[in-house]
Amino acid sequence: MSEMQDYKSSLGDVSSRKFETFSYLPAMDSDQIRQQVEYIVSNGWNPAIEHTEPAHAFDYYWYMWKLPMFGETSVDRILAEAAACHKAHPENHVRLVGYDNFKQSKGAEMVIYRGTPQ
Amino acid sequence: MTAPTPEAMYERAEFAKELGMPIIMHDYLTGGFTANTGLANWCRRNGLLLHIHRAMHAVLDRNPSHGIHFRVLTKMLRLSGGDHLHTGTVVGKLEGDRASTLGWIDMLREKYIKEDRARGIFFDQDWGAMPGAFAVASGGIHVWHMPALVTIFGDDSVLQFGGGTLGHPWGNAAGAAANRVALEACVEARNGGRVLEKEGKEILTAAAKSSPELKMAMETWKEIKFEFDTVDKLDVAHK
Repeated sequence: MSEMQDYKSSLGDVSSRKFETFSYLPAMDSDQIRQQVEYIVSNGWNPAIEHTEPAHAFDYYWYMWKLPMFGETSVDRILAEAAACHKAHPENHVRLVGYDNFKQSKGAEMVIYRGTPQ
Repeated sequence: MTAPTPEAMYERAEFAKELGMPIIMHDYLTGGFTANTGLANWCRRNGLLLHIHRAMHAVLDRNPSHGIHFRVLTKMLRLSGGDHLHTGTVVGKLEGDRASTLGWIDMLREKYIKEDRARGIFFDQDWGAMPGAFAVASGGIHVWHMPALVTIFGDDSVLQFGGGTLGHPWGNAAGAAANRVALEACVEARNGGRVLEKEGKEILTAAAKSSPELKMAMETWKEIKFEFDTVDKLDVAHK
């Protein structure tokens, strides 16, 4: 029999849960995050920042950080808002969203700061 | 949900709802268009998603001399109702011509489809406010197909790995993890402007460095290839 592996994913351990795009990849460095922000901007999507306590990460709705940045195309400003949200809520997960206003749905969504579980 | 009678179909749908299932599956061709439309309406009313299989399509759409081409059957499904539709994968164990598959994926998802005879779309088609459905890729797909699948199907799609998950030597959890790592690595690379079908091997190999599950999956499925020409080709005379 080949070597089996246990999976640590459990409801009790919030840090074990995976969610949102790219959660199965190693944490992205700042250049990789910038590349994803550039992708959102180049698609003409509206960026937004949302956050939540790790225990509530599976809820549909996360808290909005301010309002979506309608029409914002500056990658630096978008990254600065994400950093500001993380600074204000260091224990929360912070996710970056790209709203596609033609398809009327989210075009991209990924956690870029993982909060520390309480 | 596919059942001998519509009554039995609704009975099964109620059972699924009772069990808290988020999604049910129906064979829209064997069930019939009327039954499918009724079930789609039931799903809307009851908050369940409807996944559509296309069993029996091959006897309808395969013969170039008679029958109904799958782009038409796709259109009928979009009109009838459903949230997902199996469209063929281009890659994998089941055959499918790439251009015509891309044509009916558009037919399923897009708001406005321009005439494109190379893809079997003979006239402009405006779907107005009619919702689309997700394209489903399924049938003999495994991690090595991921770069092609992400390229062909894009974002609003369902990639169903059956044997490509359960066949992982470490079990199905490892299989699912491997597929997910491969998918995310491809999406990340695509968003960063890389050409997946050209650089697929490097992208997957790099992702496998941090995922032993993916490394094992790539080892397991590396020799599995399906090489045959498609039977169901677009009619060249009308291109």
